[in-house]
Formats: sequence, C-alpha cells, structure tokens
Amino acid sequence: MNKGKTILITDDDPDFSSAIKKILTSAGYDVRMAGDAKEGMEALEAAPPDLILLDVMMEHYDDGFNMCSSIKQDDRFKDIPVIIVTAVTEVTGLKFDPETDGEYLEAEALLQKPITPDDLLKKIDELL
Amino acid sequence: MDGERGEKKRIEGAFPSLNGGRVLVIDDEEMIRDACAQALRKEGCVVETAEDGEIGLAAVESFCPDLVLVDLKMPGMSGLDVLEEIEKRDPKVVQIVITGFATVGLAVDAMKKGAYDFVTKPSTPDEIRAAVGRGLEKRRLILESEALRVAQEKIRRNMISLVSHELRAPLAATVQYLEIILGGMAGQVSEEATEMIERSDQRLREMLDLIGRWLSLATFDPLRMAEHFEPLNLGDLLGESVAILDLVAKEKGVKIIT
Repeated sequence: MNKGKTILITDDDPDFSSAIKKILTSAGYDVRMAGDAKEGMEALEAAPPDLILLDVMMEHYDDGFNMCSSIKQDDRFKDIPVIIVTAVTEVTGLKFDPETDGEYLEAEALLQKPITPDDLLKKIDELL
Repeated sequence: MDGERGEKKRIEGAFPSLNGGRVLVIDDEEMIRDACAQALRKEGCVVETAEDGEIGLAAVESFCPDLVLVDLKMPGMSGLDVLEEIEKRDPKVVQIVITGFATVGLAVDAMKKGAYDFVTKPSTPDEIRAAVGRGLEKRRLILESEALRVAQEKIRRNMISLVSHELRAPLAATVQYLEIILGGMAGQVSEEATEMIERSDQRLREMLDLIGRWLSLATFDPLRMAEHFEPLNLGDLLGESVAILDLVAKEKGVKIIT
C-alpha cells in the first residue's frame, strides 16, 4: 500500500530525523534524510521524492523557507507536497519578516514538533 | 581679517557635518538659490535647487535630501504649505526656513510647526553654513536613532527565535523519541519502564507548553493584537478562575461569591 513511496526529510536535528524515520519506515515508507538545505536540494535533484518533510530553521534561520520557496518555484518539483515542521511555535517562528508574510510559506501543511505519530501519518496519507 | 559685514576668512573644515549632506534649496529668487548653493558646496554639500514649491516637492521625491531650505515668501505655493507637504512625505527631512527681517514672525510659526531653524535674508555664507551644519547634525542623530531602534528590534527577534529553537528543539526531539518507544516501534518495553517514560513524556510536554507561553508573551505585539479579537464568554473565564482559586480560598477561610 505504502510501498514504493519515498519521503525526504530535511532537518538539521539528527534525533528528530531518526525518530521520524522510525515512524515512517514502520508505516512502510522509504525514507531519505538530508541534514541541511544544500543536501536536501541535492537529494531532490538526484531523485524526486513523493513527499518532503522540511524543517524551517536549520543552519540559518530562513533556510527552510528558502528551500520551500525554491521547491515551489521549480516546475520539476512544485507538485511534490511539502510538510513544514517547526520546533518554534507559530507565534514566533513565522514572523521573520513582515514584508514577506504569507508569501514565503507555500507548503501544503505545517506541523509543530513534537509530532504525534498518528497525526503525522494521517497528514501524509491525506497529501499522498 | 574680518570683512565689513562679518564675512570672516573661511576656516577649512569648520563645518564637518556639512560634508556629503544633501541639501535642497527652494526659493523663487535665483540670487538666493545660487548664494546658498555656493556657500554649501564649498563645504562638500550636494545641493539641488528649485524655483518654486511644486518643483521643490518633485525634487524632494527624486533627490531625497537630508535637509531643505525653504523660502517662506514665494509666489504660488507658500513656503509653509511646501513645508507641510514635505513633512507628510518624509518627516525625517530637516527643515530650515528662509525669511526676510520683516517676516521673522512667520519663521517662528514655521518652527512651531516643526521647522528646525531659520536664516534671514540676507545672510552671510557662514551663517548659512552654520545653520545647515546644525541641521545636518540633527539629521545624523535622527537617522542614527532610527538605525539603533531597528537593530535593537532585530536583536530582540533573533534572541527569541534562537531561544525558542535552542530550547524547544531538543525537548521536541526527546518527546518524539519517547513517543515512538511508547508507540511500540522500538521493541518491547517493560511495564515499569513504560510508566516512567509516560511520566517523562508528560513533564517534557509541560515544559514545551511553558516555553510556548513564554514565547507568546515575549513576542506580544499590541499592534497585531487588534487583528485577532475573538468573542469571549467572560462567565466561563471567571468560573474557571474561581474554581482554581477556590481551594486556596477555603484554606485561608475566604469565601468567594459569584
């Protein structure tokens, strides 16, 4: 059922990535991991996944936004559903720059860490 | 040494704040425009001139001056009106009015409305330079304090983001692991261990909640608050508060009546 679907996790927190990978592989997905935006884009180019889990704040505070933006502006990748995950709350995490409010976040969903396995799998189910 | 009308020998670099300053002179008299321009350019100002209010306002938009010298008595658009318009477009531009002796009263009016200083005509080049010099110094301070305010705001935001990331992320990752274990995805765990893990998970989630609330408070923006008004049942809120306090109140022998 889930066999053959690939999910790419781009997050600089290795523990979070490990934990999520565990949840996803238990549910039958193939999982690839990237530790930063650069690796993430390389993985994307090498073999486009079926879904992307993306952390907003990596090495630089807007890495996640920029990557999401790049993905959504690229014809090759814009149809891949992106779930943004964030450790910071909605209140603080998304107000980096009022001028770009609303423009930069074109992801399909936003989930706050920590994510319940059920919530995550449900959301992925919806999007795939 | 001294000239008759007080035109002293120009001292090199006597007006350091003039150098690089952008000054716009709005005056219907060509002689005044030229005199001001010459006096100021000698000390390194970048000067533009305009012969009436309309042209002057267009120049404000295109030239972006630090300071404007505006003649109060002009045909067509009056000096005071020009100043009002400039104030609307860019309140940070320093305004100096040019006035004849007979109209010093007007100059005072202008200053009450926000002009920084006035020069009378005729003025010596040094007098013009002195007034503009002071005005440009004021401009420098205005811009500096604005820059500091912006920087301070940026630091504040960065600090909050940083704190939230550095504190929340590890907690979130830990909770994530614990919940995977509790979900049975990491092999069998004894009942005893499960209990401890559940407790740990709960306490960590409480911490996350606390940090979240602190962050909400720290990032409270009164300006944005107005965007999020919601109707609220005050009765429910009061009921909750009373319920929380009830126990303590009883202990202290206090009765709460609603």
